[in-house]
Amino acid sequence: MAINEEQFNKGLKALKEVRLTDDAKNVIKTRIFSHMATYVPPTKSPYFSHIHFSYKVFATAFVLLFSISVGTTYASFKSLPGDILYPLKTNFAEPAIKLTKFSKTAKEDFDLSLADTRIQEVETLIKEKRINENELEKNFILFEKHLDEKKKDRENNTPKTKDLENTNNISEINALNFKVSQEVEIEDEESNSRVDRYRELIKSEPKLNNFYETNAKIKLDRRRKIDKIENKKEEKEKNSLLEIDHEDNLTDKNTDDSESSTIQDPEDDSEDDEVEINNNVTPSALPIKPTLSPLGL
Amino acid sequence: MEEHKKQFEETYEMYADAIYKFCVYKTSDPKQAEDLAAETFIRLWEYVASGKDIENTKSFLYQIARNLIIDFYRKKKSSSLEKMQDEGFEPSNDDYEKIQNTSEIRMAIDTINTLEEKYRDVVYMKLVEEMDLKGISESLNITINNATVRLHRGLKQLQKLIENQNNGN
Repeated sequence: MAINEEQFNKGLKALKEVRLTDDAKNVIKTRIFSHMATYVPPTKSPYFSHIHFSYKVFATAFVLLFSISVGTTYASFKSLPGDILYPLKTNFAEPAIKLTKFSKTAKEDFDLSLADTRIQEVETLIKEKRINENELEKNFILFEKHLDEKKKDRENNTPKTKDLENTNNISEINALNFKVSQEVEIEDEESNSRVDRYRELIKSEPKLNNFYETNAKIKLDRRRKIDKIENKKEEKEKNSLLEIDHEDNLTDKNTDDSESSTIQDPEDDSEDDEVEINNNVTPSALPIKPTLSPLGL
Repeated sequence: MEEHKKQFEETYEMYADAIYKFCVYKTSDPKQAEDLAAETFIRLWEYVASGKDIENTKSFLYQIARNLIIDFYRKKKSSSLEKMQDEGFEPSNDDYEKIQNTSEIRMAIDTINTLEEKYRDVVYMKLVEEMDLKGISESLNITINNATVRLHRGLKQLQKLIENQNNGN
């Protein structure tokens, strides 16, 4: 089929003139208008609208609630004992952050940082002269709690005696024990330094003398004392192991022990009890039983 | 609602022929073209009755018509020719002859349909409906720039096609 330009143009002209016949136009028009007369626009189901509305409301409410929660929690970090947001900070925000710390070391560090926060809060309260013994007591309880949790985390992080028993290499055990005891000592010192800072802070404020005498002093002293007793207990265990390993140095070691036991806190009046406890350490309390040692054979 | 009906009637009178012509061009079947044109206006009314606004009625009508024509060909394709022939159906040009009473119209449509598919409607709308580029772009749901390029290339291809056919003779 071939077409020239002229034919094409003619064809276009004829095509342009294509029309519906009047009859066809009327028939179609009648058909359309009869449809229009019966057509009812679909209406949205009220149930659907309700769900749609609810969805919007819930979505908006959720976003608002989330924003408010995040904003309030963030704002609570600057709160101090006695503030409205302080319970949110200590009961929700801080424990929530701790949940994000997965390693035991990270948890320990976080416990210590919380104890520091409690100290800073007391410092700020004293600086701003907003001293309230009731609120301070809550702060102090939290401070103790942080140190207790830190201690608990540390214990979980320390190798157990039964783990050590699985090793027969005495030098390895001794090295590990020595390392552990050194680490524990350092960590205890971290806690004790904070206890000292807290004590000094309370003692520095004359208005808190009553609080210190009736509440904090006993608890702080007790905490310091318990730590000391445990430190000494561990020191004794360490020395006992060294005794087994180096019998020739036994006398020197005992001398060192007795010398170290004479170093005491001026405020610590229970040294005699501690020595007694230390002397009661039995071989069964050792990280490894002497009979397991190759040197004991 | 009565005012809407009056406006709709005016719209029908204004565009019924154009939409019918477009359907004839696309289907080559006057009866089918009538049905498609009627269905196009019914869809338009349903759209208006649901409270929605239309910016350009003519372009919107072409969009509806094109969609209906696509649906028509899909349905037609689903009942395959082979099956229809098994049932005794033989394709004939009778219907085609009803509308294309002159061989020029038939040849013009066939020539346009020889172009690449993407150029056909642009060329038809420009040459037959004498629509501007904005109207073409809105009717085919493409950008004006795209419509310009398609029209330019389509017309070039059409010119070449006619020249080649003449040289062939």
